[in-house]
Amino acid sequence: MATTADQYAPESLVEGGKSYADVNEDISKPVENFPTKKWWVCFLTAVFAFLIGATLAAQMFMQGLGVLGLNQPNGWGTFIVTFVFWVGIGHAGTLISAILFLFRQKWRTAINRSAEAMTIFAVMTALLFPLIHTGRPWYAAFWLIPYPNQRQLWVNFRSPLLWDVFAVGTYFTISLLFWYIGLIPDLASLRDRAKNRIRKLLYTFLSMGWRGSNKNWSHYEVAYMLLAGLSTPLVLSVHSVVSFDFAVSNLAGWHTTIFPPYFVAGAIFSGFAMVVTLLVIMREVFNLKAYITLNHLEKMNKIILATGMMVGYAYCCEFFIAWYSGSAFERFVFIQRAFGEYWWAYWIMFSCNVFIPQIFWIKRMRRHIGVMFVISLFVNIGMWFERYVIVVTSLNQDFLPSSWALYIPTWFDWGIVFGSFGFFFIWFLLFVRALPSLAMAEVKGVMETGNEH
Amino acid sequence: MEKTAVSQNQSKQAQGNSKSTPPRHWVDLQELSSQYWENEIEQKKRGQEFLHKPIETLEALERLDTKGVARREFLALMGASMAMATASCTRRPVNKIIPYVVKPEEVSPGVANYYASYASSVSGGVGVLVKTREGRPIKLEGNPDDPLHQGKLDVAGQAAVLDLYDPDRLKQPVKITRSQKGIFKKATWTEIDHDLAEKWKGIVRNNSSVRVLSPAITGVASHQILSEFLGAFRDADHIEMDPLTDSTFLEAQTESYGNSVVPEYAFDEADYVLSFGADFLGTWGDSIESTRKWARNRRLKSTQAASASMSRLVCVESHFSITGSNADERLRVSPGDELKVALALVSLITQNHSTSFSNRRDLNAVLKTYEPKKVVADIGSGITVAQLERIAAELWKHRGRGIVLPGDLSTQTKDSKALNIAVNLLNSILMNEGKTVVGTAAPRVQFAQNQRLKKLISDMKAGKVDVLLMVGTNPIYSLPESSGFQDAIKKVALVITIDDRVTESGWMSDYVLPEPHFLETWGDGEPRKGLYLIQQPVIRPLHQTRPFQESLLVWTREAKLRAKGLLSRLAYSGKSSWHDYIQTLWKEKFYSRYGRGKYFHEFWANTLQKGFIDGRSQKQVARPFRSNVLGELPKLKPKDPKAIQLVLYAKPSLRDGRSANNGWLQEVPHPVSTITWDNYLNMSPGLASRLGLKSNDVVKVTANSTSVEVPLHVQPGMDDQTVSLAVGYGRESVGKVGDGVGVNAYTLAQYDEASGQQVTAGIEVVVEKTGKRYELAVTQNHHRMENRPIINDMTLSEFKINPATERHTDPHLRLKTPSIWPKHKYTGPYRWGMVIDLNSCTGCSACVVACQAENNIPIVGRDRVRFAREMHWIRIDRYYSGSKENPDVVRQPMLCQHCENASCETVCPVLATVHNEEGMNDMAYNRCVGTRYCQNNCPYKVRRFNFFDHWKDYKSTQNLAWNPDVTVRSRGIMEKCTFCVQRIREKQQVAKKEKRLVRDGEIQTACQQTCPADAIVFGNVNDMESQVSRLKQELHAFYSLEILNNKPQIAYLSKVRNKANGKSLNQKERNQQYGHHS
Repeated sequence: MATTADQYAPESLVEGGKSYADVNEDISKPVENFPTKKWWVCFLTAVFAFLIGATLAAQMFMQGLGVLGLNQPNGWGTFIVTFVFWVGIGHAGTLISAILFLFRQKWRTAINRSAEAMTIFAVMTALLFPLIHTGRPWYAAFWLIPYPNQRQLWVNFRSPLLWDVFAVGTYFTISLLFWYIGLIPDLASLRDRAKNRIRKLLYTFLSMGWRGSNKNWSHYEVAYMLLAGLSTPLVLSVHSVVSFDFAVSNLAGWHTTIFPPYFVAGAIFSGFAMVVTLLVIMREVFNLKAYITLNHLEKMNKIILATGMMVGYAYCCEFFIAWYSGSAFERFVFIQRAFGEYWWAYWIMFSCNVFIPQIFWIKRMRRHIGVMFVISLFVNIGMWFERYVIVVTSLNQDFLPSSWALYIPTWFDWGIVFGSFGFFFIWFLLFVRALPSLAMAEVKGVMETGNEH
Repeated sequence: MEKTAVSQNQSKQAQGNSKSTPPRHWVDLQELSSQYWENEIEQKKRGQEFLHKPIETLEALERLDTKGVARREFLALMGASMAMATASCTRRPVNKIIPYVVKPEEVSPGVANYYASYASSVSGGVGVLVKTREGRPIKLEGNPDDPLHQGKLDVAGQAAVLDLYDPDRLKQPVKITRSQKGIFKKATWTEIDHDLAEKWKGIVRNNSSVRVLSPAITGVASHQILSEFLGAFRDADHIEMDPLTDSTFLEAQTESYGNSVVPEYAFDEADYVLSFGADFLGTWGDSIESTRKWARNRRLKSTQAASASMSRLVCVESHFSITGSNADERLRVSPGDELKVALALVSLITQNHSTSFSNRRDLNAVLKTYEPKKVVADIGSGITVAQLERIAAELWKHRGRGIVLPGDLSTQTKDSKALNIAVNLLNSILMNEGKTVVGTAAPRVQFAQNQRLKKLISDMKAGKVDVLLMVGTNPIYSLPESSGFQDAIKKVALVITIDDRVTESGWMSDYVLPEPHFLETWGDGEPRKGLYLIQQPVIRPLHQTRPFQESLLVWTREAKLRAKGLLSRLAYSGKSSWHDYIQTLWKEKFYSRYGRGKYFHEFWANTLQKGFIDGRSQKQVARPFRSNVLGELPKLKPKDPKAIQLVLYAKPSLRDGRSANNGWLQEVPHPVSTITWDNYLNMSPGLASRLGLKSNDVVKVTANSTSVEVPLHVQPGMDDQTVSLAVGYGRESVGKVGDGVGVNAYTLAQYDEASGQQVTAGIEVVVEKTGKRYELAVTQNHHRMENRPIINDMTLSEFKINPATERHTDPHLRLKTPSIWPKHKYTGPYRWGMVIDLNSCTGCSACVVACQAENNIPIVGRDRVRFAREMHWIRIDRYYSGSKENPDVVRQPMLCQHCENASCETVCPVLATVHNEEGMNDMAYNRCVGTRYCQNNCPYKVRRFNFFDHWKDYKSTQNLAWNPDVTVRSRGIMEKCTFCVQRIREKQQVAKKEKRLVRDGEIQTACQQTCPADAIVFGNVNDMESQVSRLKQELHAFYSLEILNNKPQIAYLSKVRNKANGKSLNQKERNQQYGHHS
């Protein structure tokens, strides 16, 4: 039995009595060694998945979007669903690094690096979709960007899609900078450890002449703080803007003011779930259990539980408003969501996002690796289906019953979505090979060895 | 103009180059000296043609100096004119094509020329205007001067231009080996003429018998040339057949009135129309004219609401026809019951009122068996005695101003003649005959005479027919096997088919000779007595085709036949083309009568410009009813309440299947079922649930020993004992598009040996489930309006009390809040708008195909329709209300609403769709990147995305059919209705040139132009006097989904039903009736 004092004492954030040298050794090892078999298996699987998606996408570019399941009422489908899904995933990283940093949540240090990397790769993956889902991506790639041109063409600032371009673009830039700034001290460590000339040259270049001097550190801290401050509002704004794609339209089921907070909560929910999924694998594969402890994971699970309930509240609230507003269209759409053609999607969403995370009320489950891994997968599935429900069920039965038609995704829809996971994991796996997957400098800052004196 | 500009240019060049300026680029030092360039020999030696001053420049120089015709030019011109003068003797005669009034001077590139012509295959013969661009016909419109159709066309008429460019047409004559299917040899016309000349000689020598089988040929010249040709043979006959009409109709006309004519029906003067299965708004008779006239009596003005009147349409039918879907009252009966209802009505009228047919013993003896009570008990599908009594009273009340219609494929039972007689009797009793039913207005028609066809077949079987010439007809396809035609044709020694492709009948022939499309050849027609229309070619034949009339001339000459009259006169003179024939004949027949005071060429040119001669007489005489036919009326035969009976019907698109290779027709949704591409067995929901069947189940339908497998469509409104199947499908030899689409319903038709009559209704069938499924390509899957504020409809009594009666009193469905959107400012003179009258719209879908032709809308194919990817810019939404056994139908043509607060405009990130200064919602194809956000946000779902490069599917000649004024869209971009902006701009330019504003009605969108019901009105909303502005102010005008505050530019006029018991409903009842049912 632990004493009361023990219970309320700050938890140990790094276990196993690691020294500073151990930290450097443990975290740099995967970067310096030849990749393990496990890594290769993962990497080749990801490449294979990506190639499937890329092949299908190539065929889609050649023939036209008709290879997808879209039709005249259903202008958007799995691509937009997956776009929103990945943007949502991308939320956890910045939340963990920026907001938790500002709130001085020290436990973030174990997970922030990989969470931020995940953010960047998720946003990169997400950005593929709005581009390839357009009819003419070769134009969409630059016509959506307002730049002076000889044809005097301009963009429509009233369109939420344009807001998306700015919101996601800004988010990506800031996240990348933030991540990079945080990497600099660690890159310098890698540089100092490097035995190979090329490696040394590369990390020298990337670490921007970091010497670890007081001046270096003080600049670093200020820059990090400023960027954290800058990214904090972005965490809230990006998904709010993404939700405007729907909320600003006049379609029943989309046209609703609850979307911005609901989307942000959902994004954090899914982002944390994805972080849990990745960390559980990572701590296993690279033997980082001492740094990514059960305590860390439990905290994440608590956030999943909390945001899951927020999302559940939003689901119920939508139904209430659909009834309370008296709008016949709204009411119809919501009844159809739960009991219409796409009832299965709705109940997958509801079960995965609301019912299943309730298991985390039980402490044993919160700290059980297998359970949390499965639940985090369920949450990811559920959140993908949340977007599916929003996009598809609103479009397929809109105002005029005469044009109603079902949306049935084809091989191309599924294949390209599958490929996007390959794309994401290729980047992530390259990241864990090339860069320290834990913030060494920051971990050292929260180690008990550092606090003894 | 152009030439002058060129020569001016040249003279400028000449000035620049004059006095031998050395060139800028040189290869040798000596070239820099000016003498070098004057040395022609040197130039030739060096072969420097591109550095050399062209001859023209020299000439221009000369011209500059002389200021007159240059010497060389003079010589050239003289030489050319000499050559032309001498060569003209041997040139082929010039076949003049005289253009219509729009732009008659000459062809100028970019400006369309319009030619008046005649389309015999459309709705019984229609005057058309052919729009040509640079020599290519690209669009058909009705000839606005045609007194019957007034510029209107139907679906088939709008699509006919695509047949011209059908790549599967027969391109040269072929010889067929009849014994082996699919074996043929290409031949030249010379070869064919040589072969046939020998054969014709032999036929004359041996006194062989010749038979010609064709559809009704109404043209004076065409008919005469054929009969003159047949005059050369001792035993020859011409039989006309039409697989789309009730063959007993004319027999009944002859027997009742003594003349075999299709009467003219004055729907515009009729207050009451009772139709026994006649689909006159779909395919029956001249449906364009019927629709046009019927719709006139359906238009309402809210300013005179209290005294408003409109005609009432009552349909008695088994199958749910287009006409039935427009009916104010619909009586569902089984095939054959129509006669019972008709005679019950006769009995009620003769008993209750003193008519000339009351108290006739022979009639009463029959009528006794048709006591309304007995009839109602026998029919047993919800019809009451009171209902019949009311209808009888209404008929009597509107006597002389009513029309009773009989006879379509769907009523052609064994007793269909009796039905036709009963209907004639009703018209005579009610004194409609001679007033609204005018028998004297009809031309000479022969039509399908059963006895003649029966004789032909029996003669053929007996080997008494040596030559069978089939012109534009396909009996192998359209006659049931039980007729014996398929076997009989094998006994005919020589079979010649003249058609535009090798049809099913073509494969049973020895020769198949390609017939040109009607846009490539001369022709004529007489759809009403005294109304002569002329057909002129507007393009040189695309393939080696020759009209059959030309062939008759050639054969007469080559075989030295002793043909009669004009044919032999012309055949043996130097002038011998079909054009000469038709011109000479018109000269002899009509010039003296209608061309007084004019030279013939003037008369001819005028006639071609106008397209017709109207020599109709105005007299309307009531034909006396021959009461001896009353004996033919059978006594009531009780029906078998268990039997399932099949009726055949025709769709307005494919009709008899001639144009089954036309993708526009295949893809236009049927106005009732909204199904494209296939035919299907219609069955009532009641019967389907009894048999345990669902839509898209493949069923096996067996009649006698023939059976077909066909997908099922559960169709509300069908009679519970009836199933129906459309003809025109299941072609086997029509082309890539139409082959194997659906099944051939004619194979299920029965052939009555005794009368030679085809039975297409009341065929007892067995319907079995096969367990297979087949997904029909439906464009509308949901048929309830879900009580949404989409369409407003009311009864006439409600309209009279308050024309602004609104179906939706739910406050949540009404727009109340003030708009936060800034209003668009319209400073210019124009702001375009549209009004669509739902009350006159019959759903005929002519607008859909007109739009497709005008706006280069691609055909997407069956699979893509299944995927809900049809591209039509205008569609006809159809909703049911009332009971599912016998629902009411309301239709709404839905197209881009050109909203003031357009949802699409705000969301497009690249400004590809914007509001223009004339109130239209524009689409900039080039700017579109295809995010499809606009499509999602459009509440009317009228935007169409190009999922593929559809234009790549168009092959060879099909590419000639594109309208050059409209962009052919590539994949990845959005498109939608543009209000035919190219037509607007065209007229605006004309107006601007004439320094005036566009007049009201001057611009007609393609859909509006063709609408036979005149339900669509387009015009300038800024002009308060325009028709569209006035209609928008009607109290029964409404905007679809007004609650969304999109402010559509298209107003609809409420659908008003002339219900007999059309009491005002309270809101609860309204909701029950219109909202919550399937």
